[in-house]
This record gives sequence, C-alpha cells and structure tokens, in this order.
Amino acid sequence: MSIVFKNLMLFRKGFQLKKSYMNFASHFTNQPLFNHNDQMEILKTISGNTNCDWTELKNNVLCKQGALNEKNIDAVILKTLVNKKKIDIALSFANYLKSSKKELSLGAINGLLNLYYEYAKNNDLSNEEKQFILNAYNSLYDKYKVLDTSTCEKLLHALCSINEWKKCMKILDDINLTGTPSHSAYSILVATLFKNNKRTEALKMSEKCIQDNRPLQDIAYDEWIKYIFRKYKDKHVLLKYLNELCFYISNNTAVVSVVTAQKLKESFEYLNWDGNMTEINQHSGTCKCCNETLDCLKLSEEEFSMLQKNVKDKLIVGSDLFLKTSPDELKRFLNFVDKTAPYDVVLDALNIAYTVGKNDISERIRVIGTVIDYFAQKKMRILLLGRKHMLKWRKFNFVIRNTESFFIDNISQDDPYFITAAILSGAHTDIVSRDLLRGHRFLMKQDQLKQLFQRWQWQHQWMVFVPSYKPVIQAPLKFTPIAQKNRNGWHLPYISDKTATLGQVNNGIPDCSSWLCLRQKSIN
Amino acid sequence: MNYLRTFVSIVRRPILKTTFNQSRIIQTNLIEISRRFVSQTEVEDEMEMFVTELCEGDKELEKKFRVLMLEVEVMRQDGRFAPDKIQLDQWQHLLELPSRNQRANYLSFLWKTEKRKENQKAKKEARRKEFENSPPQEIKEYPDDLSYGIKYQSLFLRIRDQSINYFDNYRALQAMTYGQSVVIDCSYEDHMVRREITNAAKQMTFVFGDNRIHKDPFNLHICNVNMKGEFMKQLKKNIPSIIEPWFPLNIHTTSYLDVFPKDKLVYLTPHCREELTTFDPDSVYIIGCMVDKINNEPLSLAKAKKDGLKMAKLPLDRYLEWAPGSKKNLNINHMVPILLDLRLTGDWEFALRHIPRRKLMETKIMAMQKMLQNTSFAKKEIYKKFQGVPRQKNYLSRDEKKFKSKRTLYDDDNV
Repeated sequence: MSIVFKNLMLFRKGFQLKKSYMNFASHFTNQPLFNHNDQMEILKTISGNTNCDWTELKNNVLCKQGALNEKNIDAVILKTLVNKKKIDIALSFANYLKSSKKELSLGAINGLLNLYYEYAKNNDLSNEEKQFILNAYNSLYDKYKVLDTSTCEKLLHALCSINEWKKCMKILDDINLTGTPSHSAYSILVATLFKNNKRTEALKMSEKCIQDNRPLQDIAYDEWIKYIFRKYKDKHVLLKYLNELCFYISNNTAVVSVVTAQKLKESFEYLNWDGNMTEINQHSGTCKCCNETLDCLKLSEEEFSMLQKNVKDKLIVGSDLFLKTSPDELKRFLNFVDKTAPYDVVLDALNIAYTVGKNDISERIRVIGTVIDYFAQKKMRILLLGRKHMLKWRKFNFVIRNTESFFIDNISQDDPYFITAAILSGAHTDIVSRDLLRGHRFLMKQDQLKQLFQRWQWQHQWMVFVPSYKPVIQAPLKFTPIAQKNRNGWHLPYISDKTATLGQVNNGIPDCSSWLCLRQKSIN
Repeated sequence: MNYLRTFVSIVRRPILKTTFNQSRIIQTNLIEISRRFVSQTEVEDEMEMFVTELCEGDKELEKKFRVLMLEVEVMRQDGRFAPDKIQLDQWQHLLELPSRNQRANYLSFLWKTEKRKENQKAKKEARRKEFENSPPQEIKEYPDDLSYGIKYQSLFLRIRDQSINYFDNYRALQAMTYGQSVVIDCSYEDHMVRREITNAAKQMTFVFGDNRIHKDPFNLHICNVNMKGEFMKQLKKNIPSIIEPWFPLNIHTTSYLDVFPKDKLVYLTPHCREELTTFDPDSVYIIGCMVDKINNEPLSLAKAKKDGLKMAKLPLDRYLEWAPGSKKNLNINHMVPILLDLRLTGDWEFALRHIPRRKLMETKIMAMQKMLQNTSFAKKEIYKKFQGVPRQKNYLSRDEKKFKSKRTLYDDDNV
C-alpha cells in the first residue's frame, strides 16, 4: 500500500500544473466511446434537406442491423431530430407522418407532442398544430381512460404551450398514480399558470413542488416576474410582490440559477434598487459589496425543542435500537446526561484524534489535549465522547481530567451519541467534529427537521484540522448561508457557471463566491 | 438513451460478426416471427388473463396495471429498452416497484436478457449449421480424457452425472450424521431487494454444492427460513429437489436458538471487534445469509447482540493486504469454503485463498501497472518505480484461478 501511495505522490509532484494533470487524467477516462451504430449514424446525419424522401430513408435504416424496427422508428427519428435541434426537418417529417395513411402509434404521437413543445418555445404554433394537440388529448383519453407517465408528461408540456392549464391539472393526477411528476412538468405548469394570470393556483402549485421535492426551474421564476410586472405598475406594490417571490426562495432554502439571479437583479434595478453580483466573506459573513453582515438565523425555542424531541428517536433508536447500540447503554447514557448536563461543548473524541491518522497514539493524544485546552481556556464546560478502547491509550486519563467524559461500547456507533448529547444539553451547546454529518441529517427524514438540523449544524459545529504540526480549530459559521432579507435589502445565493465547471469540495455550505446583493438606494 | 442503446448493440455485435451472412438472416427472421405469427388479439387475450389473475377484482390495482401496460408499450414504441414479452411474475414485480426509474431499470434488465437469449439462439443455430457442413471431430477438454461410445473403445464404465450426484449426496448425508454443524441464518429477506434475494439464493446454491464436494463437509442447517418467501422460491428454482425429505440439507423455519444450545453458538459478522483466532470444532458457527449491496447497516451484528450470542470475525487484516475501498464482507459461498479448509488444515493463509483476488492490493497494483503501460503518456521514470513492485510470476487467468480455488475442496494432493 505504502509503496503505491509514495509512487502516486511522486507521480503527482511531476505535474505542477493542475491543467496538465487533468489532461493526463482524461487520458484514462476518455477512451474512445463506442457510440456509433449504423442505424443511428444515418439518423444523426439527416441534413438540411427538408423534403427528403422519408420512406426511402426509413427503409435504409431498417435494412441495417440494430435495435430499431418498424414499431419504434418514427418515434426515434423524431426524438433524434428534436434532440439535435433540427426542428425544421422534424416538422417536415411530422407532415410526412400525418399525411401517410397509417394510424399514428402512441410513440409517434408522443414524439410529435414533444416536437410541438420544443417548437413553441421560440415560435407560435399554427392553428392546425394546436388542434392536433387538443385532438391528441381527447382521443388518447377516449381510448385509454388513464394514461402512463411519459405520455402524460409529453401531453402536459404540449398543452401548457397552448395554455390549456385546466386540462393539465387532470393529467398531473394521472402522473401521481404511478410516480412523481418531473421538475420540468411542475415548472412549466407553474409558468403557464402565471402566464394566464392565475396567481392563487400558481402559488398553490409551487407549494406542492416543494412538498414533492421538485424545486422550480428558471422558466417558472421568469414567468412569475413577468406576471408581477404585467399586473402591477405602482412601485410600492411591485416591491411587495417581488418580496413575496424572494420570501418563497428563502423559506425553502432554494438556490436559484444565474439566469434567474440576473432577472431578479434587473427587476429590482427597475425599482431603483442597487443590484450587484457579489461575494460573501466566509469567515465573517460580510457582503463584499455593501459591507453588511449576514444574519445568523438562530433556531427559535419552538424549533429547537422540536429538534430536541426528535433527535434521540431518529438518530439513536432508528428502525432497530440494536443496530447502533443496546438498550442498557442508551439508559446509561440518558442517566449520565441527566446528571451532568448542560455542557458548553461536546467533543467527538475519535474524530478529533484520527485527524492525525491512525498510526501514532501520542500524536492523537496531543491533538485532543490541544483541543481540550483551547476550550478550557475559554472556561467552557466540556463533554468528551469516545469509545471504551480509547481508555487504553497511554496518558489518556490524564488528558481528560478536566472534562466530563462518556465512553460507549466498542461495537456501538459514537456519532449519534455525541450529536444527541449536544442537542439534549441545550440550545447553546456546540459540537467539535470534522464529519459533515450528512448521513445523520438524512436520518431526520422530514424536510423541515433536516433544514433545522442543517441550520443548527452551521451555527454550532467547530472543526479541527491538522495541516502541519499545530492543529487549527475552525469556529462555526457566524451567519446562515441562505437567502435572507435585512433592513436594507436582500442577499440571495445563486449557482454560478464557475461552480459547475471548477468543482470544489462540498463542505455543506453554499458557494460563498456567488451571491446576489440587492439594496435599496439610500435616500439622501 | 440512444448512446446506451447503441452501446448495447455494439456489445452484442461481435457475436454475430463471425458468421455474418447467416446470422443476419436469422436475426431478421426472429423479429419477424415475434410480430407476424403472434396475432394482436392473442397478445391482448393474454394480457386480459394477466389482469384477472393479478388484480383479482381490485379496481385501483387494475387501473395501475393498465397504466403500467401502457407505459411499457410507449417505451417499446419510442425506442427505449423494454422487452417484447413479459411474464406474469415479472409483471407482478413491476407492480410492486414504486418509482418510474426503478421500473425502467428493471425493464432494461429484462430487455437485455431477452436480447441475449435471442443472440444465443442465433449463435447456436449458426453453429449447428456449421457443424452439419463440417466433418465430425472429437472434442476433448484435456488430452488424457477418456472417450466413451461404441467407436472409442474403453475399458471402464461411463460415470454419469447422476452417479456423481449420488456420490456427493452420500458425502453430505454422512456429514449430516457425523459432521460439525454450521448454521446459515436466512432471516434477512425483509432487508434485501429482490435482486439481492436472487443473488443470495444463488450463493446458497453454491454453498450446498461446494460443501458436499469437500472431503469433510459440514452438516448445514439453514434457519429462520420463510418457506413462502422469495428466497425459498429462488432456491427451489435452482435446486428443484430441495424440499424432498431425503435431501441432504436441514431446513428449519425456526430460529437457531431452538435447535442448538445458546453457549455453543458463535455468530460470524464482519462488524464486530473480536477476531476468530482458532477454529473451535465444538462451536456452531452462524453465517448470515444476506447480500448487502444497498442496505449496509450492521444487521447481523444487531441480531447477534439482540440474541446475546458470542460474535467473531475472520482475521482478514492479519493475513491479507486489502486494497483501499474493498469491502470486507464476504459472500456465503466464500465463507463456507474458508471454514471448511480452516477446519481441515488449521492454516489461515491456505483457507483465505477463497477470498476473491480483486479485493486485494496485489490486484490493484497490477491493474495500475497495466494502465500505465498502455498509456502513450511517456514518463519512463515513473514506470521504473512501478516496475520495482514485484509482480507475481505465474499470473493465472480468471478461470484458472476459479478452478484452482475449487480444486482443493476435493483433491487430496493439494492439501
């Protein structure tokens, strides 16, 4: 193991430039793709000629060997053309299909609906095409009574592009029978509702999106903003409704895309606000544009007690108590917490100790000692939580003399215990661990609890890193990195193009380098 | 989607390439058959039969079933993977799957199986034609194999598969009287998805086979069996005679606690801390029969804790250098041969041969060397460093390794 590791290090040192390293890496991954096959090759090379002989082309493809047959060829041709953005050729093929005497197959109808949806994004549909969509809706429902998910999705998109939102509601119910509607189905429906000035329905639908875990896409936000500007002219009223939109974003801890962020910026600028793309200083939480500090949204008492009630059952007990611990141990732990709480800080001792690797015990002891000293100097009451095998470490008892300490069995899990200890102890208690606790957050199951847990974690988690000899103890975030409003305006995070391409370590905090700062111009 | 499709069609192309002319004819013929000769009404009749059989008058279920039928039909028509024929039990499984993605994955699995069968059939047909045209020649796996038959005169009676089967069963029966008991705990069916249950049943089949060809087999008990469950159904598919009273395997629907004294039992689980240092011929070892690809909770640890049993794990780190990232939970068809060999020889190094080599460091190093050799990126010095790592001389192919690890189960010379 060590030999390979050393060699790998050598290997990496050879490439100082990150770029050349990436080139090298891509050397291994970008093996030639086997994505050509005779049939698809023909379909992909259908070129600009809009009146080619479709029957001949189909026969050409079918006589080649492959997975396409008479049954699916129409749909596949339509799909390929639409995917390749050759809409004009696709339209001519659509005409060919409709003029041929054969009855259209379900797959072909789906393909046509998809084509019209794509076409309607940039152009107006002719009456004939609109009629086709309506007819498809009627005939399909006549024939089958209930439709399957993919047909429903296609139908819903097409109907939305001709503003038939009432029919879409029925289709949505059908989708729910065998699955959850897709992101784009929800978003396009919300967008259509706003387009047709149905505000209440649209808001109801966007709440439903959140319940189904389908955050809105750009098109929905776009139509929402357009609706506000179409409907209202007075600047105060406009502001009120734009705020409503921003509150929707912040309440659901959503992160919008760069396109929507730009649109929001423009619309606020229209109201004579200052809009800027900015960065947040991760250490202090100040906006680089307006120098204001973002708020720390503390958990309210009610919220915290909700977290407190759930944490033991969700994290330690779970589906089977024996998976993580045993009943005796849990009892022992609860008695201990009753007796010794509250604490100011709870240490995940094993996590801290193993930041220096598993080799040297004295190193581990040193790190734990430093961390304990650090908090002891602040006159904080410390609980150290570890496993029983740690007691065998040399001098360990001496190091932990100033702390409360609790040790669980070697075959039990320590993470649920230290989180539970901290939350049960009270709202001010912090934790120290380098773990991002994503798995434990997932175990909270309900979305609301997950969000509360995340916010609690941002405010209370210290981390220990040992980059060189001296351990670095990193304090918790001073602000809450979600969209928020303060006295002067809004701060909203967005997903920039850079984050998508650069890639970074996911440390649970939204990217601090891409925020939108919206400020009311001071009236001087 | 199209990339996948093209990829799959590429994968199956080489099969057809060898006999290109013939296979193409056969290929198109097959498709023709499936569409022309099965009339539309017949298919619909069959589907109606499925509806009545599966839904039994439940209106909601029938509605869902019809939607799924439509979903599959749409998938067929717009070029996604869906098989032409779906059996009754496959429909039932489709009905149970909650999400669209899961159904799509299952359907594409079925589609691939269907295509593979079609190709196998075509290949077989092509080979048959080739065989008819070519003169007969004798096929021998090894040069000193005996050839039976009228023309090949042989002194010895032919030993048929059935006789070998009897002989092996006899050994297993002997073990049932005199052998040491080993328990396989089949209580994890609820924690596995269907795919995993199928795999577990397959592993169980291997366990039975590997055990009885060993020269000193265990007396196998499978406990906590749900006779109506999917696991037993699959096992019956693999070994049709498993429920016969004479079959040399103990099947208990009760817990192992009812069969054996509690202080003799030792649960083998990879999640505990104690290592099994020596093999105790008096203990009854329990192996959990589960495939934990999806759910990786320490289920067997929890079970042993709940029952208050002794626990142990194999000393894997002590004897082998493991590749980073490889899991240390083993299949039951590795566990049982390990225990068999351990009892026979008491030699851990020898017994742990049954662990798949892909999990070990040496394989990772070899793969790395190979990868660096194949690249055109010239960095000779780095290669030299890598060359320094000793490479195993007698590198065996996968089949050879498999043969070697199985051979010692019944071969005296190798012990």
